[in-house]
Amino acid sequence: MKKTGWIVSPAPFILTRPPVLKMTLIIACTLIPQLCMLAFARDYAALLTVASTLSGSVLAEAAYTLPTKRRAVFDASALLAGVLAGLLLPSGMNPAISLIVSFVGILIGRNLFGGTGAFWMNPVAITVAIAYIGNSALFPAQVVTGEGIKTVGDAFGAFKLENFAQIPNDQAVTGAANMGFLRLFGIKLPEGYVTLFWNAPSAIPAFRYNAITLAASIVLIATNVIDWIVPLAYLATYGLSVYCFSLMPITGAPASGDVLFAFLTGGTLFIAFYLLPEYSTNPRTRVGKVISGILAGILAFCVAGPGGSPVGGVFTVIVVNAINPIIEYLENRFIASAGDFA
Amino acid sequence: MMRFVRFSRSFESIAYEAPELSFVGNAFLPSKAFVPLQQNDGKPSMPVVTPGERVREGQLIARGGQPESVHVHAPVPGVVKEFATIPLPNGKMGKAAVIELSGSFDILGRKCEHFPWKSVPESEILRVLEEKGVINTFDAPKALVPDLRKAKKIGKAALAIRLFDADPTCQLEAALMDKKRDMVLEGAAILAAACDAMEVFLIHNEKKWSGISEKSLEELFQKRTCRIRRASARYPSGSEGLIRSLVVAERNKAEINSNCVYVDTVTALSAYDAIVTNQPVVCRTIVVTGTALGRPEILTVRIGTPIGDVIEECGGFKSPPGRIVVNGLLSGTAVYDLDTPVTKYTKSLHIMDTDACPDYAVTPCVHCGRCLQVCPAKIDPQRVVKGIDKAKHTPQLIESLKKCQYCGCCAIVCPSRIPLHHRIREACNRLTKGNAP
Repeated sequence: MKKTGWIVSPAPFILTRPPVLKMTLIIACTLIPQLCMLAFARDYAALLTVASTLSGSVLAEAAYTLPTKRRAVFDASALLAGVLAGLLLPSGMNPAISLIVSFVGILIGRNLFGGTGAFWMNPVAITVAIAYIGNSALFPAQVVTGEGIKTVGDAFGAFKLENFAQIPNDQAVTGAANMGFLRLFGIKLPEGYVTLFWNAPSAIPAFRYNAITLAASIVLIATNVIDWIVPLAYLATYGLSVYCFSLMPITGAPASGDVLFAFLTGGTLFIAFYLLPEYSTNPRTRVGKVISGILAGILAFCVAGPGGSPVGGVFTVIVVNAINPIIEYLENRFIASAGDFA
Repeated sequence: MMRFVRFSRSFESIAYEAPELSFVGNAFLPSKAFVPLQQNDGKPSMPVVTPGERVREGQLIARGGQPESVHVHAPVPGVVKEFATIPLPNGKMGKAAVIELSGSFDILGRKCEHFPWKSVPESEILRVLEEKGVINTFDAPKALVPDLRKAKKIGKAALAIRLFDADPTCQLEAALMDKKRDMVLEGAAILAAACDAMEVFLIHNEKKWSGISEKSLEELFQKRTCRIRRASARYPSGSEGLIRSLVVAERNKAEINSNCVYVDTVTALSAYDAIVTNQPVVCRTIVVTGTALGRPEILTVRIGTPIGDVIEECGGFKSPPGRIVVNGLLSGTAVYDLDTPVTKYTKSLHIMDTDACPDYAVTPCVHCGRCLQVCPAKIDPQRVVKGIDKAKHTPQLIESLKKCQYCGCCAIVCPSRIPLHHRIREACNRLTKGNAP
């Protein structure tokens, strides 16, 4: 008999989604343009922060796996957590501090709960929260205030009061968009949004490149790497809340909030597509995911308001992650009784 | 051409390569046929020939002594060289008679008989089906006649025939329905007569029934009520559990017992060959396809033909093969030896190239919930497997084990590559044997 080197394995031989390692690598690849933009903008301090959080994350993984003699599962998720944490910490943070913060955050948030698939709260969010609680002065202040909105009448106007520098081509691109496809819908985009979209002014690198984040989200959803339900429910609820209620307590005008501003500041998109869809921290059924997303949207509105919050999104993630086990407990009970909740 | 099949409980689709297939007739005869003595899930048949003995085409070479084993016939004339242990397409090892081709043919090249079976009594049909070694390939391959006898004995029986592939990547049964529809339906009528069925369920998954007219069906099935039912075109509408529930629900509605024999098109065609043309099961029509294959074709292959010979006839490998999969990409088995023979339960061969082979490194569960979302049996595969691992034998766990249809939807969508349905099946088998799951 001719023996071959082929692999014998049980069915199925068609799989609809990439393996975990490949999924992590795809997410990491979508972050490369953001890192390139940082390099292009010569923000070496931000890159140094990313490098130190990455080291902290790898050390946390080693500190957990080596003494316990657990077999390290190289799914690159610790590396990804390090990069994400680095992008969510303010540029120019002391590298030693960011290394320690990332080490502690990843060790507590990820490894002590059992690693991939088992952690309760997003370790990246925990890292950022530790850094913020440790020294909130490192983070930029809330860019939009109630006073500012009262003076100007809208959130973006209030944001512009804080030395807002448009990118050189903002005016030209806005003009072209208004004369082009936006005209078909009867929409006129004010100047400044193109800047928010392309390179929003923020000390936190993850909040800057919204266009790249949006493009990355298409890749992540199209390749089945992330679940679209949670980000969609989150953005829809947060957007609706901002539109309906954000200006009501200040100007008294209902249904006049600036949704675009809320999405393009405070890292709303980055958090929606990189932190919230983390499988470990989410319920497993579609209904559970929708509830979790809606809850995140409501909480984001309560915490971050009309937008521009430096850590509002991260704390939203932590609170929702804390609540998600209750949703999961309820969905498990429904599955056991009704059997059709997924 | 890429084809997409939606999951029955998800928006996701399974994509697979499905080239245009053509029937090319009989494959080349093997110079050496490896005829396994075990052609179904029962016990192996007892050989009635000895090494060195000359056999004729279609001669009985192994007798199914037990009720669950079937007779095996020589697919080619020649000399029995030896009884060797060889790998089988189901992944197990088994004994096979090695027949070296020589001598003249008794079936091949002769004019086919057309036996008027309608006047033959049921017991005679059952005897011939048994004698010709017909097996039921509806689900796991098993002897057909004991089931027919049992159904006849209980009374008010029904016969349900699935006219499409349970595993859509197989593409064989759809092709047989397209090209040999009349023979398949006549085979179904024979089987209905054999178990004295009062009802016949023809289950298809096309948008509209494209088979023969109701009048022709009445003529074919005579006194039996013929019901044409549509199953969903989504995966896994052809699984045993779903077809069974479809039939049982309808029979319960009419307050009739759930006594039903379930067959597929391949079984019906075998019954036709056995009764109408008086041929034992010595060949199988199989689909040979895959990204690494030179020329995808549908061939009628002698049982015992090494799959290497079949591949060679289809143009050989056009790129380095990664896996050779028997009986479909969703529920089949990979074989590793080109001498693995074609058996009575072989339906298709997929020659996958290395690029098309998925990565199988199992990693811890990422808690994505996909398995839960696609499961057609509405169980929670990940929790069931966790329960099996922790030996938590709760009533819910045992109920879930019983509900599983082993369609593999959970494993298809699992990014951690956990063989969930295999674990559940293994536990269920242990439970059936009286052990703890």
